[in-house]
Amino acid sequence: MNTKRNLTKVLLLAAFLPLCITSHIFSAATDNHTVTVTLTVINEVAITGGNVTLTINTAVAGGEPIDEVDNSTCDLDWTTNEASKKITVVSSLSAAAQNFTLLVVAQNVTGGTAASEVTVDDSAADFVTGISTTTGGCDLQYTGQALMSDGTGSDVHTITYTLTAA
Amino acid sequence: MKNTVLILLLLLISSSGICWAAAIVVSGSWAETIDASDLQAGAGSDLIDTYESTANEVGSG
Repeated sequence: MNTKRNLTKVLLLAAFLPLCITSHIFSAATDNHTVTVTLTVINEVAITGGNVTLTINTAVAGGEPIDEVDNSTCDLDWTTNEASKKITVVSSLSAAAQNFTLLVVAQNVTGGTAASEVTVDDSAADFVTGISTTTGGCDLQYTGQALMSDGTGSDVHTITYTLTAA
Repeated sequence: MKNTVLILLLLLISSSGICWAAAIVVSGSWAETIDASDLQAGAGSDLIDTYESTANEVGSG
């Protein structure tokens, strides 16, 4: 009788033991997968404020026309996640095609260093330098200059700012 | 009676084995590409701070 009981016990043990073991075998304590975050090159530059009109219409008797200045209409903003960048400025008009002089300079610059005031023509000139992995902006100050000998008329420039490698 | 106790004990041991076994499964993957369209307000602004996968793009259990 005791032998039968013992056999029952052993059989029961043999029946339940695999449950314990398999539960450990088929369960994983860790798992993994991939999460990829990619940041592409970002170089953005934008003019805000629209177009600018400079009208030179004053002069002191006996003197040349007084320069016309606008530094409140437009801003230039930029964002780059690359190093060693600068912004250049270029006009659609060559110097020879211009009747008057147009100058531009960056004021109140953040995220870069203003270059010296530029007389714009169709050759790209440095406008803001020292731009590196940053956001930035400036006020655009345009100055129109003319001489009495220039007569009257209009120069219509298309001014282009480009964020480029320094 | 003894057999009943033994069976209950074995059942307890068996089930506790299942409870102790940690189980975690991660399914799916996520890839996020951040570009100029993620700027907060265009040129002059910085990137959006946080990016989240869509719901259920990555699952776990």
